[in-house]
Amino acid sequence: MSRIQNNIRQLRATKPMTQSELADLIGVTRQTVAAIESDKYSPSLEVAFLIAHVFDVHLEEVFQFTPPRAKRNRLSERMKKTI
Amino acid sequence: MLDNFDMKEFISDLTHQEKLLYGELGGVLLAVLVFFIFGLHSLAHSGRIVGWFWLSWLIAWQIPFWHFMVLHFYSGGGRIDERDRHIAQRGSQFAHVILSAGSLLFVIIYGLGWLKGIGSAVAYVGALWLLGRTGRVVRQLELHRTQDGFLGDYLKQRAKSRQEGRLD
Repeated sequence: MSRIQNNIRQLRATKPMTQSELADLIGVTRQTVAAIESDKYSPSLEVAFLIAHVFDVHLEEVFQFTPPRAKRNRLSERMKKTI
Repeated sequence: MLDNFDMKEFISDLTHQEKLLYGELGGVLLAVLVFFIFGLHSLAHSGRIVGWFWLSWLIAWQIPFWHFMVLHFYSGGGRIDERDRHIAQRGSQFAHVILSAGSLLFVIIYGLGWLKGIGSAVAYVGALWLLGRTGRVVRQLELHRTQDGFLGDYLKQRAKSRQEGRLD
């Protein structure tokens, strides 16, 4: 499973909108929307922004990213050194 | 309205790209079949593989295949998106690994003098090319259905459950 998670399914339910309809709007295949929804594929920034635009919400409301603990620790150490 | 709101867990039908890949796989398997049947036949009867025959067979097989691919692509039969391109790249990387390993093996067995004549060398290159192509197509089809391939997903899942067990 990807560490990038999303609420696309919930957002689609509020519209309501099918996977195919969303796919047509953002210019990808239905299978890609299904793969993104099930966290099996992380979309490009462009597609991510388009999805957020379709639901008229901010990007962070659609996608959430939790870096692995080891990566987070490394990043914190590097930041301490550089800043 | 819920009937219209599809909740398909994952890919239930084939994408345009997958249909092309299955077509390509069928063609590759046909070529492999002919390659080995005639290869073994000539090996059994003349004791050597006639490489030029295989090379011409592979080239001849390519012409209708590419014709089909180009026609299908330009007929607007379906959409090819960023995920398809990403999967195609990963498939090509896999094929490069096969071709690199095969080339290294070729150099070794050629150096050892195991390849008798240009015919055998051409047959080897042809077989390697088919293997690389089959590997690419199979890998791409696998990636269309999984995140990191069946083995990759299994290992990831195992590592994740191990980590969760350690945290508990």
